[in-house]
Amino acid sequence: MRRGNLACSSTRESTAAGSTVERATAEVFAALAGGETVAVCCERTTESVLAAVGVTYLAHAEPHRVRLVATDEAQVRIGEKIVALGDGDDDSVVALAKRVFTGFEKRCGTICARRVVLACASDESGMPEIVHRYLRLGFSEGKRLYEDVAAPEALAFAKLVQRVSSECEHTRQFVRFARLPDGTFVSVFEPNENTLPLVGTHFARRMREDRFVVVDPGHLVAIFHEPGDTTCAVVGLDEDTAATLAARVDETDERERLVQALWQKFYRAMELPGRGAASRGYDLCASWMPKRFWHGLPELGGRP
Amino acid sequence: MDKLTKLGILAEAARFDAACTSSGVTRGPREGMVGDACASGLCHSFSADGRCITLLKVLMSNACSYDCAYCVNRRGVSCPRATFEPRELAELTVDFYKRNYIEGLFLSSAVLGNPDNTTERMIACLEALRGEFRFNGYVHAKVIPGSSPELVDRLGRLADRLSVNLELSSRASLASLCPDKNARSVMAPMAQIATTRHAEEQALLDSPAGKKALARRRREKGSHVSEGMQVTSVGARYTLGRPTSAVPNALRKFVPAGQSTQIIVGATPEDDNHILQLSKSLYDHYGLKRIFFSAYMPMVEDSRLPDRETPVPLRREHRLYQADWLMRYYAFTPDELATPSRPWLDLDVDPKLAWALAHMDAFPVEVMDASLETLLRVPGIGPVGARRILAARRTRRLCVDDLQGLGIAFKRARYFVTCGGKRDLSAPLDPELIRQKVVSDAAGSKYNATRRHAEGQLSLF
Ligand code: SF4
Ligand code: SF4
Repeated sequence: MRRGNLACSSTRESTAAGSTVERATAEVFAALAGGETVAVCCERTTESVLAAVGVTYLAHAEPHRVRLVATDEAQVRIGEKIVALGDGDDDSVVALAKRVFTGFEKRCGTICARRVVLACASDESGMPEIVHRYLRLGFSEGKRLYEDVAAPEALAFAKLVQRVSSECEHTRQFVRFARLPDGTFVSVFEPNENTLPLVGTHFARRMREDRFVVVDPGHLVAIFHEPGDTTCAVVGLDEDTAATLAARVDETDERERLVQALWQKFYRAMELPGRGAASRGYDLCASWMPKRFWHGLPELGGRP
Repeated sequence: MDKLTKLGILAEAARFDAACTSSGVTRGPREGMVGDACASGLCHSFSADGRCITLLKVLMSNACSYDCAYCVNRRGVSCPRATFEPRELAELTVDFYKRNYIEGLFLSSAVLGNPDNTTERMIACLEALRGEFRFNGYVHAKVIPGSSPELVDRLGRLADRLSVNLELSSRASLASLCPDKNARSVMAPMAQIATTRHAEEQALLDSPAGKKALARRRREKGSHVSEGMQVTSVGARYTLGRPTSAVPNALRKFVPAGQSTQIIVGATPEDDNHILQLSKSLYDHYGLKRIFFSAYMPMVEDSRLPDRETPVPLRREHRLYQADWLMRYYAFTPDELATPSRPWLDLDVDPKLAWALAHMDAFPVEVMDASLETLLRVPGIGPVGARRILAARRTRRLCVDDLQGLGIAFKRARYFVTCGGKRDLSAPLDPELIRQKVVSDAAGSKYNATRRHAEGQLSLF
């Protein structure tokens, strides 16, 4: 076996019989044996994507006969079988994902592994397959992966990482909290990528002694923080809970509205004459602060 | 006066200060306290004119007893005056911080009676903020020229960054426009801050914590991790020629994020060469972290100042920032950017391109074997791009298409590089032609077209 491969020989001990992973692996194996190509269909989560990559290795798939595709964009191609992995109710998905991750981290280093987590948060179409190709490149190149920045797989992957990193920055910048009468801080934020799970620690550091929650109704995810905790709990939501949580930002009292009014006043006072869009010729403000966030910014009259 | 009105007055009065960063120190969260600080800073909003907002920037008071000609707060002007209660401002800071509006406080003030009186009031505010309100986030405080050294020292132990604003770039200009200040009152606190920081650094180097941190830093430097593509590719981390502080800022107690200053551009006759020379010597002598340039905005009528109708020299300010950046991060010297015989920066092209056009004999540069220093001199290649080239060319032969993927502005770089011996044949070699092409490309771009339209013919001040 090539050193670059996952430790496939140990398949048996780590995948319980009848588990999600074992079933998927068997399906992929059978389809390939029957002459078909395979699309492994996964969720847009780090666990699901990494486990799907693991499945392609476990089934000994030749790289050109297998691809990954996200559940929300799976389309049947002629001669191709779709194998759904899903999130799986059992632990086998998470266990395999962990194995792939640790294997990759060992082989290619922590920095590359951290970038995989970022890339998996991307909403970009084709994300799972881009990550898949990058992981394969990494398993074959090892530590050289870090420097091989011009490889086509690495370039496509770097684009995902770049988008997610910059959206994480937007999240850290433009989340706005409102304080409810009971002292909880609430925010609704709708990023383009699934950034909340990645910025939980950041906010936990800032607001160590406070109870807060940030809701992302788009990705149906929230982060919760209890006073004193060093991290946030990441929770998946159904649509009703997301809506109920999001509606709480309107439960503010008079003091909170005063703070918002003060912030708005401050924001307006910062503007300098002679340097606005008219004198500059282009709108610097909008280019730094994308319009899609404006409705959530109290300084621009939006709700927090 | 209600809080809202007061904040309006004291924020509006503070907006002329260009310093906006919340960067320079990393400080983790502490139990029972509010906030942390992160070396790279974080902007939370952008004003309508596009400047970033990262700190609650206000004056403690705008009731000034001084009479600087260019200032809207000077004693002779009739305008509404207000003064914050120290505790009131501290509370507002924490309120804003917890809503993720800001990273901290930028506290400045007009001279309330005399400098010491003013500084004491600022100290009272910061003591409430750090003590009663347990604030562990970022604080930038302005030093009022003329404050006693004891007070400057106390202020420096409460703030992360201090700044003493030079405002005018020569003694003569200062004497003519700011009759109550003198060069000594500005330079003395700057020197005091530099000396105290230096002394603390020496003491820390000898301490066990300092030694441990130093050893860690050496290990990190040695590993190959310092090159290639980082998760967060902050260009500043990969740069040349910047002596970094020997000890981590987090260990410091006095002004951990260092000091900065501001120079007003366009109110007085000093040229760009003068300003860049001055900047260089400030960086060298006082270890300044940043110099902010503020395009002069004619707000008051005064015979010593440019006419009220003079447009704000925005483009000159922009070019000075670019030149300053080249000095700090690309090891350019002031005389390479604006020479004593041609003392003004070119307003049509950026200073790096201007330098390259004047030194065509240094080009083309071969991407496959040029040194980091040489790559950094190529217009269109920045610190991150240069590092990526170094990393990538170890594993494969690069071609022109690869360069684009690595984040190099090839449209700009193509006049100045060869890649594996090949150069872009459609790119002219003659500096005058390159210049025309770059200027017309820029002019053709949508934003410059609108910009020119808005600026009219005049504002190339
Ligand atoms: S725009 Fe630049 S200088 Fe201003 S806060 Fe952001 S990073 Fe700092
Ligand atoms: S000291 Fe001079 S610049 Fe400062 S507020 Fe007073 S008049 Fe204005």
